[in-house]
Amino acid sequence: MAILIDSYSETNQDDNYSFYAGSNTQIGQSLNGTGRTLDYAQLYLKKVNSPTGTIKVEIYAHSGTYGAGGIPTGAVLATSGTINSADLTTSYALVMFTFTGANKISIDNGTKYFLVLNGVSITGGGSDYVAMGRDSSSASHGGNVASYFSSTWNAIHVSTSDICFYIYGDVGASPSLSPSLSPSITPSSSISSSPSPSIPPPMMVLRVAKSGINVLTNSDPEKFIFSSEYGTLKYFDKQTKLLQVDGTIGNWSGKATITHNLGYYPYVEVYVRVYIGAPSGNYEYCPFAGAGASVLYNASYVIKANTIDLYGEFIGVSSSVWNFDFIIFIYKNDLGI
Amino acid sequence: MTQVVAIAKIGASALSTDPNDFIFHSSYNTFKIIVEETKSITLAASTNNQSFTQAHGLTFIPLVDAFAKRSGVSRVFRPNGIDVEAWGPKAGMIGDITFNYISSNATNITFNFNNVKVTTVDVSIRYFCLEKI
Repeated sequence: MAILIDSYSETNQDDNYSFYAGSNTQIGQSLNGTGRTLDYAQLYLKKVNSPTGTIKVEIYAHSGTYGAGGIPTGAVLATSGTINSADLTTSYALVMFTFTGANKISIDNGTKYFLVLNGVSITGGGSDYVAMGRDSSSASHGGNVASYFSSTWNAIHVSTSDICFYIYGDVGASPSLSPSLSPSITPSSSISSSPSPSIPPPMMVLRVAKSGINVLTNSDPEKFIFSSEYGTLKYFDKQTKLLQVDGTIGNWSGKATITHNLGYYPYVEVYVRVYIGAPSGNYEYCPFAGAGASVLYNASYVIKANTIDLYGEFIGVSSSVWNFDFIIFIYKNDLGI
Repeated sequence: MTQVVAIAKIGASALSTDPNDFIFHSSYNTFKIIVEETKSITLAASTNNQSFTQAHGLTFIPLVDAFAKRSGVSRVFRPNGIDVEAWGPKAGMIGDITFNYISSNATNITFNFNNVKVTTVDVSIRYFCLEKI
């Protein structure tokens, strides 16, 4: 699910930047990253008369003071797919630019970036252009606008203009790891035509707020019981395993294995209690180390793609049978390492 | 009347008062994964107590959990545990790499390791920030 990284609403639009051949070919807005994987951006665009050529969105690193003269710097970090300017509508619409493959970069939390509309491929005369919506009367986004001219980036209209934009990221955390096993019985036979401006469905989230919290005015995850904007641990299985280490025959370490058969390294939490004789004691978070009067003991585990190896051992002199009573919680969250 | 959103487990009543009967219940908080990232580090040879920091970028001190995996090795080990390379009933757990601990403050997450190998070791860490402490 796409999560909003930063935006400045199109409801603020009262002016535009015009992109036409040889002029205003690259203009961008600085924004604040929120720790997502770049998915798509939207700009509020329209065409005037008959521009031709393609446009695309590029992401740059940010230099300078955010909101007070920041400019793009360095090479392009990510480039969207292109859109034919002739396919734009003559009325303003949010136009989606999608990032794929290696262009789905990480937008780091708290890091500033520039979202730039690149119109260097636009052709046509000065009366045929692409208009990018902006606010020039009461600009209130925290960033600023920059334009590329005279072979360099320049901050422009710093305190008086902001571009209307949305930028979305994927939930990098914990995507759903349970693909549907049900094949579609009505596969689509439609063929996607050439890229064209598209308006994605409105952003939908499901939030359950804590008592007294307004879900519409709060965005702090701490305020929510649940929010679909954030991943969760996908509880899969709970297993138990009793591992005995027989000190009567000189052993002081034991190993046991359980199977999960997920085929990847899952998120796992393990608890263990250690006792001699009848079951007793408290479950401790594992890996764990404890001590008796003359004996140290510890329990640990390693996670493999289809199994989990559990270990228990004591260090010291003991001729007892030691019990390591494990409880293993397995989540269908692929660690991906 | 207090209203709740509840999703019961198969066979359990949505009107149950036992939280263990539910997949989700709006009366109980859930851990939300605010940040999930991977960090690659290289452990210096023959050195204990090696710390590596990572800015979490959050405005609060997060609850952090982490998993570590050596490059080229097919097993994952946990904080306060060792990467068990060999084992025997009278030899115990044997391993040269120990993931000592993770900690977090308002700015950074710290990962601490021991490496008693005489060579450097590349390790990937998957860490999760699960809300505010």
